Amino acid sequence: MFPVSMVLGHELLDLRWGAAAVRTALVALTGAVIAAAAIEWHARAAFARYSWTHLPEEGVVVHQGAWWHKEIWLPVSRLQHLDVVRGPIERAYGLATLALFTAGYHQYSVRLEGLDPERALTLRDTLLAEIRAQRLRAEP
Amino acid sequence: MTDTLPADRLHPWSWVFHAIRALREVALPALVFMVVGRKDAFGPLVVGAVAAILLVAWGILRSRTFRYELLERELLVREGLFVRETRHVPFARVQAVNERQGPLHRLLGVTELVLESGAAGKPEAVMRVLGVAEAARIAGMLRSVTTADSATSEHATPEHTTPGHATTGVVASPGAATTQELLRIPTDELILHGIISNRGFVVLALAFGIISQNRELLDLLPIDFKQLMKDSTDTAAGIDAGAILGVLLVLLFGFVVLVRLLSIAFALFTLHDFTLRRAGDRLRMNRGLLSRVDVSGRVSGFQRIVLEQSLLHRAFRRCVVKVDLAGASLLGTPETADSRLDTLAPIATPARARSLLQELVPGLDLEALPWQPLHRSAAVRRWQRTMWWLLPTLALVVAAAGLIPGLPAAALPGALVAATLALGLSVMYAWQWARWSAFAASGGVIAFRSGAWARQWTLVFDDRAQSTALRRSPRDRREGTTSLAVDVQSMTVSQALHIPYLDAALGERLNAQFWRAGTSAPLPAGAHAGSGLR
Repeated sequence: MFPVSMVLGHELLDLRWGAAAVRTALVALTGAVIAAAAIEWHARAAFARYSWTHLPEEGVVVHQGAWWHKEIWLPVSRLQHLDVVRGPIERAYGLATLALFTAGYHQYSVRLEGLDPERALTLRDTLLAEIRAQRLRAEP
Repeated sequence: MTDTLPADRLHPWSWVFHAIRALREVALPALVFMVVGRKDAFGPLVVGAVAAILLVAWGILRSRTFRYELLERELLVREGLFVRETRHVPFARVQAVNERQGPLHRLLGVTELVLESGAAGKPEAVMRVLGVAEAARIAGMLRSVTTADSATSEHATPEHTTPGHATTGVVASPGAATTQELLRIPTDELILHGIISNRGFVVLALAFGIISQNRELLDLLPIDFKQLMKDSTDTAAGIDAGAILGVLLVLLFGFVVLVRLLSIAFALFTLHDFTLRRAGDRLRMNRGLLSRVDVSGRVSGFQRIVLEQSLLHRAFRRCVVKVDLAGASLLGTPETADSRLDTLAPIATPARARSLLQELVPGLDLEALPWQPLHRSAAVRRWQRTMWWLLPTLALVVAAAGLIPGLPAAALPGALVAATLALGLSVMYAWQWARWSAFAASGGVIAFRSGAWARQWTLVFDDRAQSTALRRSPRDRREGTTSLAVDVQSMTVSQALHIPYLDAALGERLNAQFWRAGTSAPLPAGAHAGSGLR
């Protein structure tokens, strides 16, 4: 008996270990519920805040952030290329992401997330046409 | 797939430099470890011989597989041993032409030529190495072509011209070819630069690193450390504290002087004969005594200009002027990292810096900028930001002084006094920071100056921002403030421009200026990144 208790430690051999486990489980469960609620709240707040606007011939403005609000202003003339991305989760929910890339460094891409796939493609085509028109004006 | 074989090869000595580069990047750490770490002589010899053969073979293969040719409007490069890569580099896209010549290069009459475009990341072509005459031919060709091409992009200055101006196409302006010297740094200024900058530590750290790795080298030093330690412990009891303090002070003084002397020597070697010249849109900088550096870049590719003044700079009334070019890369190869146009003036009087900026950015007068202060909450919030780390640190120090047994009785009061002093200093710093930090919009330039004891000025051009971001923290929303961040086409360590604690209305006005410039005028010619839509 002695060597076993050496190996396993006192808590595991203690007859009351079941009560401790229940207590631990309760604490963990409460923590998980609180965390889930916080994540849910944050997701809702972020979703409520998240919006983007396409200003024709000018560019795209994105509003995001639940607590730390952020407004990104991205002129059409700075767009380098556009990607429409659909990951497995997005496909399952029928969504798409349009990624806008600039030649910048710290903020070289801006993602418009949770788009209807049709809308993502339309927006991409519109932006591409606008870019082409601007390039033509700049370098005939 | 048309696989035309470019006609020209690198210089016959090229393999030496490819081998040296491979040695430095891969083989050297391993070799140092093996040679320095072992006692027996045979092993290192064999390893060294094998490594030498491999390096020479690598050098020969690398240099023999590199071919290039100057075509009418582009440079054709084909390189690669296993993966063959053919690159077309249009002259008009080359932003920077950088040459570097170390002592060995000069001995063999060769030079290394690196061409960069506005795209971030790898250089467009690294020609290691070319004969001096051949390099001059290519560089001359590139410089003349790009100067003529970018004559139209001179409108990339604060005065916004109409977009129609950009449609005039390629015009070779005769005035663009004349070279004008903007700055030359005399030797006495270099000595001052050595005193102000602290590069001596770099040399010292290197020497210390090598010595400490190697017992034999340590024995070569004229000082017997063991004896010294023994002596000092033997005599410590008999010497009063004053004498020990005196010796320490002398040692410290000697160390500081040594570091400064090394720093001066470093400046004299690396910045010898520093000259900055301008020919039209192209800026060219030469420097170096043993290693000659000859780099260039385009004024229209300027993304950001930064003026810096450390406390020592302020004491001597000097400053540094730095620049970020389009595509400027932090991640360049080691060779290109220190030989690119990133400094306009390593040392200059504020007046000289001001006139230099005036020449590069017409209409910009640093003294006459309409500075506007930050929001009134700036001082308090700047102070609270330091509290995040200062308060826990001070609490820890005071707690340690009070709780650790065996410390002298004066420890706790001493720690409390020091903590109070630190808090006082932090308040003073934040107050001075907020009092001095300000922003200004003048012509097409947005300027932000910040700092309290050390100061810096950041200048960006409203028509060269890639994107902007307005951020509002919960605190910002309470105070009615915002922060503005501007992203440009170069790899800056932090955001190219970040103005915190801005009055929300003013921040939006600044953002609107960037937006107007970004949406109305297309990017200046040559400032486009290499990739993307054509």
